[in-house]
Amino acid sequence: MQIQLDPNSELQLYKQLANQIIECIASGELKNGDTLPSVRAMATDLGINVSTVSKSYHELEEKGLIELKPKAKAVIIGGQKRELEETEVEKVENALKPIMAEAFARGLEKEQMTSLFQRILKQWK
Amino acid sequence: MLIILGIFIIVGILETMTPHLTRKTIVFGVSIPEPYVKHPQLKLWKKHYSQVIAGIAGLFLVGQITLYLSPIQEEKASLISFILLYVMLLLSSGLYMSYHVKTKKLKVQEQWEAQIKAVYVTDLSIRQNEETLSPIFFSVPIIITLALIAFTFMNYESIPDVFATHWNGAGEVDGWTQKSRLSVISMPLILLAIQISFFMMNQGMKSAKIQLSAQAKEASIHRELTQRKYGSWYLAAINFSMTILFVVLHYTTVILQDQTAPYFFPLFLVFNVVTLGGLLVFIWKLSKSNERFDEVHTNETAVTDDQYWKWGVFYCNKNDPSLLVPKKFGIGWTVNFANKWCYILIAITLLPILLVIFI
Repeated sequence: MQIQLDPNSELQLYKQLANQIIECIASGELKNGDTLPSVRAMATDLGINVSTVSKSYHELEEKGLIELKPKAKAVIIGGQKRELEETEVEKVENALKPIMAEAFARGLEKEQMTSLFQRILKQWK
Repeated sequence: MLIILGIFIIVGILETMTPHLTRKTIVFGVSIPEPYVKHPQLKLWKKHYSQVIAGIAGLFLVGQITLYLSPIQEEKASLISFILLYVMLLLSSGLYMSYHVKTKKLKVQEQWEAQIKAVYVTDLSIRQNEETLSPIFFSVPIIITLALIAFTFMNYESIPDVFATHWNGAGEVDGWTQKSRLSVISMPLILLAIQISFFMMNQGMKSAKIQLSAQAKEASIHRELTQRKYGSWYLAAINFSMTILFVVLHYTTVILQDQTAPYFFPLFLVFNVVTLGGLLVFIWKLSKSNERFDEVHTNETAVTDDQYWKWGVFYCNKNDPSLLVPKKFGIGWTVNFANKWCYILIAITLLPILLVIFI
């Protein structure tokens, strides 16, 4: 469950942090009901601004992956198997489409794309 | 005298080992990027420092023993040995400063910073595995002291008009104090101040940054958690033994009236054994848990905070909400001067010393 942020990356720090937490949920390292470190503790340990971590946590909350509780607790609510609503599937599709389209336009074969897909999915079981 | 000798030996060992006790990524108070941790020049300097300090400590110890065997008055002898101790500490700080400057220069000359990639690292589960003692352990002694103050006031009438407050080396009373509402609780008040500062230190340790390294994550997690756990235990051990010592001292002087010596001196010895022995155990645990950088694969290193340190000794960082940070040289913690609570902590720590001097 290690987090490593690169200050020189194009991706903003808060986005990197959110992405890595999401990956931990996807891989099952973080389970439903687990708590994340408090915003303050996370910011102290990483050595970054409190507002950066806070922004990250709020984004995860908006996505419905964590629940922010009083006393600075952040509890994971994602990761469990459940019926997805149609709008949620649609959201994923909308997000995925431009990435796949770009790959296709760059000349990636459809088979290559499928195997890539499979490979990534395997990491999460 | 034996106690002073014991302190001397332990300080000597401690000063000699210091460069090897801090985390490997900090050498003489300078942050070393992880790929350069095994730089031969750094190893050599650390070795030289230890050799010189061990030499000085050995020399002074011989002087100390000569002093012990010579027919000099005991009062004078202990004064001289304390001066010797301070000279030794001064010499080692001077040596530290010279190596601090050298290390900094080497870092700039060889342009280490240009060849590395700094990253922010942490672990999501580390806060759950952190084993700093809960504040309850540090509240109980405070409650004991408050009870002692109440007990003293309840028995105020039976306390004699003057009571002993100072003893010579042989355990005979040579100082007396007039009874008043304040003077009868001066001892518990000093104790209370120390206990509160310990409470704050433990809380400070709990919330302080857990610094992991980018290339030896597991090892650095282990080191950080060990340092916190045993640091907190050591603090609690000192706290409890000191509480017992002060309670006995207070009870035997004020309530029992002048029966201090037979109780206090054996306990004082026990207190010293706990403090110094505990320190040795703590250092042993620390040196065992220090991470190694056997496999350095990339040019990644954890982001450093050198710009917030003055001479690798004083830390002042407005963006860091922490009260305490681990020292850069030596074991233990130091305050963040940008945190206003630190002044309260310093004041509380200095208060007992000022009280002892001026009362």
